[in-house]
Amino acid sequence: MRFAFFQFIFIVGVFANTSSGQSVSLSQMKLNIVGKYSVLEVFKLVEGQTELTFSYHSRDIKDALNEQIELKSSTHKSAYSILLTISKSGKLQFKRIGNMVNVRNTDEKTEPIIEEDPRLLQGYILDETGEGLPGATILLKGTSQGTITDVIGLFSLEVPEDGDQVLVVSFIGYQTQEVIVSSKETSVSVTLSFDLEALDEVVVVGYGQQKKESITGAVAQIDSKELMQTKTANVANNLAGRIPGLVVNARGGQPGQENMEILIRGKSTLGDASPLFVIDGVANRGSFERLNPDDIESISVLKDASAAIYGAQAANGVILVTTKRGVKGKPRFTYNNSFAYTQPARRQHLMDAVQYLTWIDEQNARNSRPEIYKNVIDDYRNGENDPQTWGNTDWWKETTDEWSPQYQHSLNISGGSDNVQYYISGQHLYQDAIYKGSEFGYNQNNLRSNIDIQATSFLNIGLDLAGRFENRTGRKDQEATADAIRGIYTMAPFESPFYDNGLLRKTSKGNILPTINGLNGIASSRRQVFNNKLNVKLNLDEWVKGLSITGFGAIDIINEKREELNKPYDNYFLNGDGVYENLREETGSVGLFQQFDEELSQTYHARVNYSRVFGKHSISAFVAYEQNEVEGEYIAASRINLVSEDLPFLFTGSAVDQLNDGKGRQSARVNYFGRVNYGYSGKYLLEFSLRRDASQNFPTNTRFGVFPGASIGWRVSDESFWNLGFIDELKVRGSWGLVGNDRVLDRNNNPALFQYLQLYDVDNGAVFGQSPELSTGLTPNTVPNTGITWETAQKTNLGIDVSFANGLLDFTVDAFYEERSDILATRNASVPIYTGIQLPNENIGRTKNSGIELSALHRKRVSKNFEYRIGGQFTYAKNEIIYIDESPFVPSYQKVEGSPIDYLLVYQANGIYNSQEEIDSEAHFPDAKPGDVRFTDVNDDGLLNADDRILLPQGPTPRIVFGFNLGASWKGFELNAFFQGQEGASTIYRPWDVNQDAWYFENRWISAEETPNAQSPAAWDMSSSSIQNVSTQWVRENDFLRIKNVELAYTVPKKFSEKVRMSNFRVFASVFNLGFIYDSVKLYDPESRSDTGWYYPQQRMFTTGLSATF
Amino acid sequence: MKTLRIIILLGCTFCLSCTEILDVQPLDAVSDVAVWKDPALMELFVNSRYEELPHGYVLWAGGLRLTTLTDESYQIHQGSRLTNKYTQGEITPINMHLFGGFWFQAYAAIRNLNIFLENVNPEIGDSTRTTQLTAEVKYLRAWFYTELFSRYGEVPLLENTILLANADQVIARSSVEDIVDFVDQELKEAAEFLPTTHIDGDFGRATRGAALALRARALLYGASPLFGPTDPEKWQKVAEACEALFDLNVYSLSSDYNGLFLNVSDPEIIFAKQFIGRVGPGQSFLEGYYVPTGGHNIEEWRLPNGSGGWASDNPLMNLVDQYETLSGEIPVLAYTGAEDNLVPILNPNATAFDASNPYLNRDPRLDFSILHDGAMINNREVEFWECGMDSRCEDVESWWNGALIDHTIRKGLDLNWTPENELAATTPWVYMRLAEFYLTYAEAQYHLGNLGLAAEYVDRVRSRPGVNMPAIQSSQLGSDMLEKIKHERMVELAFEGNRWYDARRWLDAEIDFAKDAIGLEVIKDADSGEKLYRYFTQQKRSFPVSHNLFPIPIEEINKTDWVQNPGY
Repeated sequence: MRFAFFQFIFIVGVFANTSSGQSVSLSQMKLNIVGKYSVLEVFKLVEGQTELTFSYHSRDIKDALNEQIELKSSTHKSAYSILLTISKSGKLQFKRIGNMVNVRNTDEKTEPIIEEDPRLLQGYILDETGEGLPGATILLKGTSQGTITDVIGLFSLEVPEDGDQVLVVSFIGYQTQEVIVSSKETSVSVTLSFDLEALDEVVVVGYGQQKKESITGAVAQIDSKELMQTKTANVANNLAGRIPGLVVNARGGQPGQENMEILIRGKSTLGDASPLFVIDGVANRGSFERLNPDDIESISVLKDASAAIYGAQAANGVILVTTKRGVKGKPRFTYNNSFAYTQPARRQHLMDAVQYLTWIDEQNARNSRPEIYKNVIDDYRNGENDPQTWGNTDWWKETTDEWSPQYQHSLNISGGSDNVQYYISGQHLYQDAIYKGSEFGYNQNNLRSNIDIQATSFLNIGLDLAGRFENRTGRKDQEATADAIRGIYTMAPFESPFYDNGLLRKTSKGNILPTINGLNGIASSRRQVFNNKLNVKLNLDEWVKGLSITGFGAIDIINEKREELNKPYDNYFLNGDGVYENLREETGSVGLFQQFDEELSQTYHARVNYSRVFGKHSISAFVAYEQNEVEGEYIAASRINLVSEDLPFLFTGSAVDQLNDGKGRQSARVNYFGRVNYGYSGKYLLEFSLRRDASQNFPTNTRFGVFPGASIGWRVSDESFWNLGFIDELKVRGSWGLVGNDRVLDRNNNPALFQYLQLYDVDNGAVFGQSPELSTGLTPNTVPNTGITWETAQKTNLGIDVSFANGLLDFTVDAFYEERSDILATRNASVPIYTGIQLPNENIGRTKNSGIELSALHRKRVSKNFEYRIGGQFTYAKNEIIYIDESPFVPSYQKVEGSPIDYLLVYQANGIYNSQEEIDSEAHFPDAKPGDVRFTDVNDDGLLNADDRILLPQGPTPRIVFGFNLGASWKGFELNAFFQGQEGASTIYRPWDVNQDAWYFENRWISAEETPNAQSPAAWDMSSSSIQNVSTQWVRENDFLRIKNVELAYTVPKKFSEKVRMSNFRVFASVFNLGFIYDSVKLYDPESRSDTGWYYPQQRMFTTGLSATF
Repeated sequence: MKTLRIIILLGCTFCLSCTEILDVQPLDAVSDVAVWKDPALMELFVNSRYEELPHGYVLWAGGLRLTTLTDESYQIHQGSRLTNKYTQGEITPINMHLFGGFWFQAYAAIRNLNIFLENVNPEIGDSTRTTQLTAEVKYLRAWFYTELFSRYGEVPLLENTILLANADQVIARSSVEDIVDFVDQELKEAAEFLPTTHIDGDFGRATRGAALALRARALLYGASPLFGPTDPEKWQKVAEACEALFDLNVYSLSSDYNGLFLNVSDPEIIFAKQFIGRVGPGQSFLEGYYVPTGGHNIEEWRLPNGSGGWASDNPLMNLVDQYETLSGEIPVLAYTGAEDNLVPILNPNATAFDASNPYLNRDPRLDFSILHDGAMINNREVEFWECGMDSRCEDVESWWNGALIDHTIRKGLDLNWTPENELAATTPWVYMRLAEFYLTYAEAQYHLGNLGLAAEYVDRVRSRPGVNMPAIQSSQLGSDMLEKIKHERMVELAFEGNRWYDARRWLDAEIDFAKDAIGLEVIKDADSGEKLYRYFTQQKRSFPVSHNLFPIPIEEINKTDWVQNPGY
């Protein structure tokens, strides 16, 4: 606040010297000063003979101090001539305002400048509470002349002497006002009113918006500009590392199903830890991932008790997404596109034929089976292998493309008149999967129309219509997304996919090529999402000042068709007689499975708002009611022996073996809630919210819950005693709240309603009858938990927001502590299996989660053409189990109390056995052989068993996540770079199939002599204890720092773009997932969680595109 | 103002609808209240309980009746990773999960059966039907307890469901004797309410005969040496239980040993499970697609690769040698020599045996049970020799599925099966048939000292039409009698899932299952067509005494602090 502070003193000076007004110009001021003086001496002499006062900063006149000015009576008769001489010699500029002469230094060699203005206008800019507004801008309309207010809201501005003048007064978050000042007036007082619609410095919170400065909770927001810097198809990818407290991990990269894991402040529960997503005020519309990124105005994250307004669904935090709306003005077209090529950011390199055969033979040898490939391996080495039988295939290469295309087009039009504003947009996205052939991939079309109508002076109607069409095609049986990738691992590298004559070959493990290129069939899904919302706002100001009513009805429809088509195909086997036998008949008949699912979700909301300022007190409050109903059902059917694969409809299939199925689902919620915000002088801020929620997930008598939240804030920098000039703003915040998580999962972590009822599933009974028929049966589902309830989170947060040096550095720090209780978990550690009870989840678990998060942003405009920005986020969140069910006989070092929520319980590996003596000398598994993983008998009881497993201090959820972005712009060029990293996570990576990464081969134990310090065990059989018993041998730490995104962009200068009637034209090139600064996993993508390597790899993406506005 | 009023009105309707929308119902399941009021639903409930009974065609079947755990056969596929753990004596309380968690399946089933018994109301619907369903449920529960004690020894005996609230209270294991008594009583009672035969749509449900047969089986296991010294009283009960079964006069020995396993209506079959081969959605659509529901794929699993199968379970010489010559002599006594080229020690009394034509002049059950060199399958000869169509030779289709030992199982398989009806197999699984109980009766009578009666029942089995093996020699009426009965059980009931139970209850497993697994290779001279048979050690086996019982899974020991079965 250095600037304003300085100005303050300066203004006080003005007041002291303006008593007599301003009548004479500088050249009319006759002076009598002769001789040689220093600049300062001249100032003093001038001040003595006139009413002028000089104002300067010593820094500005430092260079001029030693200058001697010679004043002659002949030439220096007026103040003007004296100042002109000083200006020429000392490179000083003078500006007279009233009787104040402001002295400035100038770097540039310019003409001496002496400005004087005949008229000085002074005044106050006040806010609604009557407090002065510091930093408000006052502009003389039609000119570039202007000033800003000081800390108490005072300003002074030179205005032309004659005629009425128009001042434009503006301040962020307030409505801009124009004030007419007549030639007689010398002072003016302007009161600005809040502008809630101004989004720039306003943050979207639950059920409303708040000025950033008056926010008391831990809320972070990201705007569209930053969001659009990354050009991925999945919006969640664009968020990773950009918001403090938000943990985003891409667990895979399959188009249309990237498997994004989004957590707020890490994991606090053993159950569903995903946050609540609210899109345009409507909860549970799905995640934001598939929205058109261009449609998003802002995304804000409620991390603490500020989420309490969402009650029983908000314990994991809330992510609020707001889409763009129209603004008054001529239609504005924005078009942007991007074209990308993607490749796996990291993929496995599996063993080649020789390595593989060696590996198998070593396995054989170790298991006393004959080494059958000895001769073959020699043949390979001598180049004598018959490539027809003994080839060398890199199945990754055989099945996947080097590069896969991806592109996106998006167009939106916005504008409006005083009464109607509109934003309409469309997007098309296509992503090809990495598999050979373009059959598999993802297609998406988004349409949106957000319209606002000011129907009458008090009635505002908004209609939002959005439709999204998602088409996914992939491998048959793609439900297990890893399967296609897994297939690569199940192929023996010595076999080739084709015979020399080009015929598709049947391989020993079943050639995966036809499953990858769609030859054997295809699975597809067509999903249509319609989000419709009618919003009504009644402004009752006319009747009761500050009163308004809002309401909306949202109707969301999701239709999904899933289909699986099995296609017979030609594949061959070269038999001993040299004949290629076609094994087409083994590939089954043309079969079709179809499932149609529809879901209707209705949300109705009504809210009464009151917002008013009484002197220094500002109050804003609402009460609201909201209800939500979801109904859904599906039908599914399948037939085999279809007439043709080109007519994939059920009617062409045979009636024999046709099957069908159908189920329904229903859920509902009812909520009452309200919030009060109180502020005193804008310095002391208070917020209290209360929500009463009912969810159908719980039994009738206990389904209502109450969730309070409270927070306070103190804007210390607004206090009159505040005098730390370098800190512009300092706010201290604190919050506390009780929040719930009613997403009840069953014992297998699938959502399951009605856990309080004993349900019976309809299933197949046995086959009975002399003419056998399959009977229908009924089987009890999980034993009911009649007392089931939501988990409760008690959240506490302390935060500080600081802004230094006029925005040069913004800094926010939050510390949080949360305790969860009533977490659903089974008592499977203490309830014996013989009870036969399929245990329900009971509300028994307790956890805690605490940590800190920081964000900092430094921006500087170095010159007119050069600007840069450095921002960073850091989150540390440590979760811990306080209680879950454990067997009373579990050894003390296996007690999970105090362990991370996703703890790993594994054996302690201690290298590799080098000799039989080593094995015999200590406890070992019965099948242990030299070259196997050496396990530690942790409890030293001479036995190796489950009791010897240890708890690892960290699980797959990272404790530390961080990201930083660097941005710089020079003239029209922009460079943005974004880095994302994490620490404190460990994952099990245990290779599991026929083939594996060659690393395991290259680093295997061979013999005590050759490889005394082998990193990996000798060629293992899958049944060997080395691999069956998970040990630290297979655990890797997931620390990494990733160059997530680099973008270079150029915006064509306006003078060119305007020639073609474009207001903006920008081209860019970017790379996503460019590489790693460091990572500790090496073999796998450190963000992957698959312990087998079977995941669709995260993609590196090279993108170019443009954006044009006209 | 008109608009205003409408809007306010609209706003209020939101609030009025309120809480009744919360009264939603599950639309994908049936609720508790409905089931026990509706006789039709109660019957559906019982239908699913039959499905919980594991059968021998499930690959792992909770470890049930795996032939490859025994000296009958060797598993060549991935399953060997699991079965080897057993045959190498490496079962531990930790790796029991490799056997599919039978402990959990059995007790989950028992709980469901107890739920029925606690909730069934004879007042509702046709009381005869309800009583019959109750008896069926008791039969099924007795089945699981028989299975449990014969695997684990002492196990907790739960006659009621345990409430969730008390679920962590530890219940002690009951003695084997108590469990056998319980099963005995329950089945006696159930038998009264079960019809002697089921016809039409009910065919396949438990009958009186099934209850009595299971009772005899449970009593037999209970009387066997594994669970205590010989006690004539126990053997008397076994004999009586068999007599009760025979007295029904419902069952008779089949005259078609070969076809009986494919014909669920054969008069010898006491209890069997039928299948409808079909593919289609299972529980979850995409997961279950093309997974058999109500079917199995045992033909694909067992037939040789030349017929599109996987030849997974290869019979060992250990079993093959037990099939007598037509004159009633075991042809090979043991092997000697190098492991990869063993020399059989021939039985000098087996004069009819020709080592160069070993499958000739043998007990007809050998041909019916095992596909061996020279056998016909689907109008072709089996070709196990190198690069024959059923061999492991790279020029052969699906060579990777070729047998490791040149035998595959034939018993119970539909030889007309081809890969096109891959999952459409309908072969029934026979749980119990009369011959087993003739042999059980013989064993009981032996222990009661009635050797003549024992021999008579063994001979009944041997002399059935189509088998016609000579009566056992009078010289064997002495101390060898028991061996002869055991031998007859091994041959007659091969691959039907009895060997693993029998060898353990006789305490013979310690010797028999520790013997080397002997393999066979057929070698054919391409020019002369002359065949040679090479015998070799397929696997060294070991059988610690502890393996007579399975260990209690570690999870259970951790929760209960029970004493683990000895040796684990």
